[in-house]
Amino acid sequence: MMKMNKTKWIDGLINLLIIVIATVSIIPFLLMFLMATQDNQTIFAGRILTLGHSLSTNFKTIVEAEYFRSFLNSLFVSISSTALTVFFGAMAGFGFAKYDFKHKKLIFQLVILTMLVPMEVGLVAFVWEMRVLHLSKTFLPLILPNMANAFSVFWMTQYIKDAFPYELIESGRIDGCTDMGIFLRMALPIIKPAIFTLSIISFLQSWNNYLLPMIMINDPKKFTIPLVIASIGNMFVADYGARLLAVAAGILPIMIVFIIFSKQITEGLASGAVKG
Amino acid sequence: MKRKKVCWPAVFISPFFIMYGIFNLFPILFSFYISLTNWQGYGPMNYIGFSNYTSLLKNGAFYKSVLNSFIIVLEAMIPIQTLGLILALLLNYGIIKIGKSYIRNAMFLPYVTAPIAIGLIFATLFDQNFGAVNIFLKSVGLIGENINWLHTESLAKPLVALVTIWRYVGYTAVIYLAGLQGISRDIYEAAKVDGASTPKAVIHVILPMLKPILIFQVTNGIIGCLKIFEEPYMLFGDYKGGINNAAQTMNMKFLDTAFKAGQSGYGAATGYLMFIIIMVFTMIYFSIVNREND
Repeated sequence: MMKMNKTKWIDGLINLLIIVIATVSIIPFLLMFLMATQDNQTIFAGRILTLGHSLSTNFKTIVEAEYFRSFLNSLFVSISSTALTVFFGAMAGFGFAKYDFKHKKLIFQLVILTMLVPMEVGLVAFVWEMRVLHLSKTFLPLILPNMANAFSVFWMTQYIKDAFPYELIESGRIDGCTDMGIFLRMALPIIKPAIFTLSIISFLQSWNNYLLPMIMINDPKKFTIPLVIASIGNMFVADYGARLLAVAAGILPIMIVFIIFSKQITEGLASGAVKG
Repeated sequence: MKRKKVCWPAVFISPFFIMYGIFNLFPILFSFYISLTNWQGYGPMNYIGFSNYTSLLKNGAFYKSVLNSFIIVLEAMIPIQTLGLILALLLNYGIIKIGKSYIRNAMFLPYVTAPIAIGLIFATLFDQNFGAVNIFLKSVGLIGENINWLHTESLAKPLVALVTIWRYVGYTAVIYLAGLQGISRDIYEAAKVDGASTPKAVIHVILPMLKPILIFQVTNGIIGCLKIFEEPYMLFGDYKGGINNAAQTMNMKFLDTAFKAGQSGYGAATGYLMFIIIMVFTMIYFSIVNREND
């Protein structure tokens, strides 16, 4: 009886400790939100734990700097990238999951292999190529490469294997559908949950991406959120409150998406990793 | 009704390979050619053979960036994997009862946040004059004078490692948790009935079953960690990695030469050497996994 109580105590203590550690994970964000409401004076005085009165002033500052244009740029790039990632991923996934053809295993392994080659290797020539194709003044270099996303192909193949019975293809063919019609009209609606989860994950990755925009986008009017955050020191030279408000506004959409869909995101990423 | 014979799997799968060819494979191959030239990002590409590589192999700064990367990997990976695994075990075997989803989500949040933003937040928190870290340490009496975190050579790498640990522990725990959930609870209970204490049951029964995920996590973590650049870039404000290049990673060295210094040919060669180093780790991973399967 005594021993029982003792282990319970220890378990409770461990539980409390882990809650404290988890809180450490979000303290930097909480401090960021607090500082976003403060002015320089409050920040320099080190009164970081106080809720400032400058939220609206800071907000006006970042609106006047046309900060929210980068918001629209990021939205445009992320939504288009996500649509391409998911559509082409589902299409190739359908091909791998529901057909048998020569060297299928080998071809699938080739797809996986592309995941292992870091994109950094090709960056120098990628910039050159985009310039030659006259795409370097557009958003397309950030969007088009998503048509070949190996993670999405892999992920969709795993899902479609179980989710879409082969009999449906047969019945579709009897009804006179082409296989493309079967994919578009029958498969896509059935794999909606997978499309949804993968869309959130791709959106998140695209929104956070800094590497490609950094080397491709020079025009400040075309800056995406990560580019603005990286050059925020030039944008608000000596206004720390405005800087942190801009950072907070840039990551808030992702935080909200994560809080609402945390189950899908964590399980989606975990299933991709565990099956691999 | 006549139907033309269409090879449907090719229709579905070939777009992936065509697009990969245009946007990835071609640039990768052409970058190799560029690495054999003295191209500066504009103007003519003059073929100069392997001299970029030979001068790179004589370049102390390149070796330093490789070494920096590996030290950061070591400093970050051990705590990430240990803490992540412990956390996953505590969550899976019912020791944590209160606040399960709070713990999981709070610790996962850093992973979904843009690394560039994380770098900036930490640069603010570690600021010498008004950073929250110095204010906190001073108020509890641990330090008398403010510490200049961002401009002290010996602190640069540990700082990057710290940010990396903070960012990845939750993610790692969630992946381990998914692996643990695939292992039947009965196995754990059986081990305990057989008289094994909890840590023994974990070490001798659960860990061996978790091995594939363990290998995946460690390799994937090392590869990802070797490519880190956004956090140190924002912490120290440039691609040099702070005082004396103390935290300049391989990737920062590559981006700095290829895109900031205008030495595209030399930069492409740096990228290729980095690729080879990362590939060696991938090969080690695959040889281990294949041996497991045999």
